[in-house]
Amino acid sequence: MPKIDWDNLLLLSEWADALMQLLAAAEDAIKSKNATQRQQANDMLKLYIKKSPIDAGPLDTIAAAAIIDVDIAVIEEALFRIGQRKDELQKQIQLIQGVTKQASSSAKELRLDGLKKAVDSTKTALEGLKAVNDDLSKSDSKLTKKLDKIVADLNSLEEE
Amino acid sequence: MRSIRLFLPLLLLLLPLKGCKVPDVNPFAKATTEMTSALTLGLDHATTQLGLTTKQKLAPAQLQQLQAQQKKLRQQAAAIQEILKALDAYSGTLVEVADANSKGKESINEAADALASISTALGPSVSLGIKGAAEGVKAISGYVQTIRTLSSLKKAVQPADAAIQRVATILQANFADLARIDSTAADIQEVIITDQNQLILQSYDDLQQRQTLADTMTAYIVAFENTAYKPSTPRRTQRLEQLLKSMKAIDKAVPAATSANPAQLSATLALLSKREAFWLQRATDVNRLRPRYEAVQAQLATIRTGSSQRRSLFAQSTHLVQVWARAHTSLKTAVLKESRSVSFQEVLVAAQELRSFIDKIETNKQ
Repeated sequence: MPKIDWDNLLLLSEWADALMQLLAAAEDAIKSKNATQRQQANDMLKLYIKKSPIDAGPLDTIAAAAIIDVDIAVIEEALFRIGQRKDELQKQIQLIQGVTKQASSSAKELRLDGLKKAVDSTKTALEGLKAVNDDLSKSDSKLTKKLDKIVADLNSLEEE
Repeated sequence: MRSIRLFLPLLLLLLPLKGCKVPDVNPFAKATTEMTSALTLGLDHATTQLGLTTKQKLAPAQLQQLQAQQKKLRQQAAAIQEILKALDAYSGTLVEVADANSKGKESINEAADALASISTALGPSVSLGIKGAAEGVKAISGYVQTIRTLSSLKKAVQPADAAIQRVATILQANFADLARIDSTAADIQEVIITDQNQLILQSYDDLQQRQTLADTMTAYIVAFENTAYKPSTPRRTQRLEQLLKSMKAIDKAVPAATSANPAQLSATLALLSKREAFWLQRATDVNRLRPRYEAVQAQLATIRTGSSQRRSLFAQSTHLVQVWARAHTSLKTAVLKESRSVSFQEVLVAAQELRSFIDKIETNKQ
């Protein structure tokens, strides 16, 4: 950043020279893409506007336009960075959306599963009640199969 | 005998099962809602502020650039908004999964309770067995439901966690840039207002400096008059000379220090009276300009205060993103921990032991 000897700027031409230096610094700051340099350039231009005499109005307007130019560059840079991250963000979101879809169908299954279990349990128990009333003593080979199925069910559950 | 066989599946339900539970998904869901709301607000602020710059009086080239940036930001904001919706959907689905677990258990419990109430009609010996079986239905069905829920949650949170952490990092970076856009847009507004009111602002500053001088000058003049009208004041002439010197440094129209001698005192007092009127007039000027100056300052203060408040909001949003990402990791850890606590092997061994036991009963009965 240029060193401006503010106390010795008396003539309007001297103020104009000082502004030329600050404009060059602002241009460098825009090109540099350095946030600190840009901030310093803008701070100097603001100080210029504050310190300049009343009759330097047109010079102040030029300084203000330079500040806006630096600001536009800052915004452009921020928008560019956000744009750069867009693809990766989309990629991650697609993954999350995939998981969401899968989890959503799991939630539906779980709800149906709960209902199915309740119905099955009730049916089995009602059959049991019927059996108590009938009290038949004949052996049933299906029993073994049923136990096997339960064990198989438990096995499959473990694999989930 | 058949009754025993038919009850076997239910008896299995009475096995002592190791406890596992579905972790609370709500802290993550709450963190998601808070985060997405704050980020949506941040997006709105940044787009509004950039939009406001295009309403100002600008050079055509600058206006064109800002309008193009406004358009680009709107598109990017819409894309980010979609991402926030996806995150809301994800968190909502996790709640659905956890909720399906409790809903499923509710329906199982209702059915088991209904079964237990029917059994009472069948006499004490049978009723006891059915009641036990009903409790077994509740226990094992709930257990299985919990295992399935944990499995579904695990399938979701485990692969999603890395993506969630990455999304959190990107969102934080994006919102740091959006905060920059917001504050820079506010800066543009401030610069334009300052430039448009430059004359008022600088005139006021000048007048204020003059007022300070006027106050000093009038204080000197009053001191000079007081001293002049009190002949008994010790070292009066020196004191008056000193006051004239001080006044001369500010106002060239003030007579020289030698004018403090008694012969010239009346003329000096008359001249100082005129200078006092001049300086008082200057003090009046600043008061006349003050309302306009204060109106501009109020406009600038509104922009600065708003910008500062939004800066806090953006900082808070970044914090919420961190909280959200941490909540997801905590949820993942809890789901994995609970999943690990499930021991299928124990259940299988117990089931097989029971089967042998029932086989023996069958054999004995036959």
